[in-house]
Amino acid sequence: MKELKPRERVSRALNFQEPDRVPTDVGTSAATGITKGAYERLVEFLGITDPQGSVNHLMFQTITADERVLKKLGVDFRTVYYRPPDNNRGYFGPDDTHTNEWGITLKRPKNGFYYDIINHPLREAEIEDIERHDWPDPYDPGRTAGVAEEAQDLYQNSNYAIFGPGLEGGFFELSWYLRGMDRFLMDLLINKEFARTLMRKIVDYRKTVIDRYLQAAGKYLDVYYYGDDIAMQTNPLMSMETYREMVKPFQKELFAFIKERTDAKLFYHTCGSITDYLEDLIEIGVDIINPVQVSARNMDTKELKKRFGKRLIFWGAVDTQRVLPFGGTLEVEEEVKRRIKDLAPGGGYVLGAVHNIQPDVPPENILTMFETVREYGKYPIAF
Amino acid sequence: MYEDMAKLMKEGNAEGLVAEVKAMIGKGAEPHDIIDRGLLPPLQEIGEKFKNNEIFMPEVLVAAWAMLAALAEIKPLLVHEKAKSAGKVIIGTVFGDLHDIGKNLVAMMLEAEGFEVKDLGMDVQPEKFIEEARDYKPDIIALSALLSTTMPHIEKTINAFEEAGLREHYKFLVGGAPVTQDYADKINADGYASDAVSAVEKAREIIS
Repeated sequence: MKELKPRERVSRALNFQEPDRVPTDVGTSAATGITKGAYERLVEFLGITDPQGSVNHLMFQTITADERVLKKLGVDFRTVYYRPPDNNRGYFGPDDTHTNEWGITLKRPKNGFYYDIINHPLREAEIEDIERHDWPDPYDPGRTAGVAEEAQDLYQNSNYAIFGPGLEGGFFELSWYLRGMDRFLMDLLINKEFARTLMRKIVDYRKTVIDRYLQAAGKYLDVYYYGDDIAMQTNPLMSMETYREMVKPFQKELFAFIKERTDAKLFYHTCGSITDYLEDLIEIGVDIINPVQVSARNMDTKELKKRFGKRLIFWGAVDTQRVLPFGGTLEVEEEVKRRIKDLAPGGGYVLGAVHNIQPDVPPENILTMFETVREYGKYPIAF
Repeated sequence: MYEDMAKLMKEGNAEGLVAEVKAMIGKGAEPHDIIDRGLLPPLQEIGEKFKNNEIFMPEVLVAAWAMLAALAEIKPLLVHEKAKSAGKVIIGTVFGDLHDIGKNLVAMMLEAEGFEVKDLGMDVQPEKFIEEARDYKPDIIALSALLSTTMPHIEKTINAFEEAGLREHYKFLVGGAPVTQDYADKINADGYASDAVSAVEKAREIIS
């Protein structure tokens, strides 16, 4: 097949057709990104002496990458990110701490890579405290300033598939960021009204921000990003019964709200062992599942494609926990080929790393990953 | 009565469980019996079910929470009895790592099973472990890390004991998401456990 433009390539893949080659991604979001450490070494390796690129997510230290890097790797997407609010209430404190606009304090340990939460403002809260919390302003015009223009420009003047908004966690994550994970997981069982009130508050906030973003960019988007982890490496974070009773109704509402405002495919990121959730997620409108954490329990790509491959697009799947940081060139090649073989036939696959490319991943391995797709990702898959 | 306790614990009904414990103490039940026959069996059942993916984190957390409330009620009474300690443990998340839910669960389970536990919290420097160990004289030092990037700090902590000439005084129990038996062997830890229930079993084993 003749070489397709990225947007056409992606469009076919997302509609379960085989394009010219498997589309590829890195850098589209804070869950499919490249971290600062890995990025700095990559640009140096590529000989880019004046690299652009700034941290777009404090907690994960992901980078909005230099256009030259994305071109070199052959990334098929460009992201129209949320912007910071005009009234940015976040501030840095002593000892490398940062308090964000939700009132959540994070700290980066000495020599650490990431910021971790050290203060959950609603940890001791009662139900009536939720409303009293100092919530960020969803109407802050800064969050979507210039989004319409950027999306339109990408649509008219580039051939890339358009991805957005790429940042911010979902309502489940934010609930436990605010409450503390142990406390919020307990709330789901023994303090249900509190859990529901908190999720309701955040979902409503989110809907306002999403509405404004999608009014600006919705008609240009190919993929709408939503990330909200609901699993651990060995297990879902909760039973299916708890999920269906407490979390799924809010997801259903939010996903319907998004789909009323854009024809983009709905991309849902949740790490971990998530096979148990997939039927439910498909039912409530999820089109794309990411990151396909292959190191987690019960996440065999061949099996997943067999069970869900006609109804669900897979995005990611190249192992970040072992192969990308510690594997040699051959191992990276084998890993990429394996995921192509398992997931690419019939379309419905975008190749990328499982989650962000971590600081310890050598640039050679990143380049090998993308070179391998160019070589072996051509349709029809012939190996 | 013990069945009631099991039920209350599984429901995460801390208030109910404490009331039940108080009632039993009022009726003259032995504090040790309440722990051994009332609290431990359901806790072990919950741990097993979690290991087998039959129940999940929320169920484990609410039960542990209720049990802790009940233990707080019983503990003051234990000092009057001839307390039989299963062993002394210092536990903490290694430096550079600010995660503690798993570590807290392990500490809780150890305590419930009769260990004396001193929890040093998160982001604990090797010197702090050494200083506390000199003072507290534990049998076991339990080290936790959640990140693959902080896991090497487990080894560094053990090495610090080595350099101080103190390694042989203690048994090291290690765990956390990225930690494996292979890694534990490589760094010459005395034991590895993948979850809180196994951690208690392993703790008993390495000091027996």
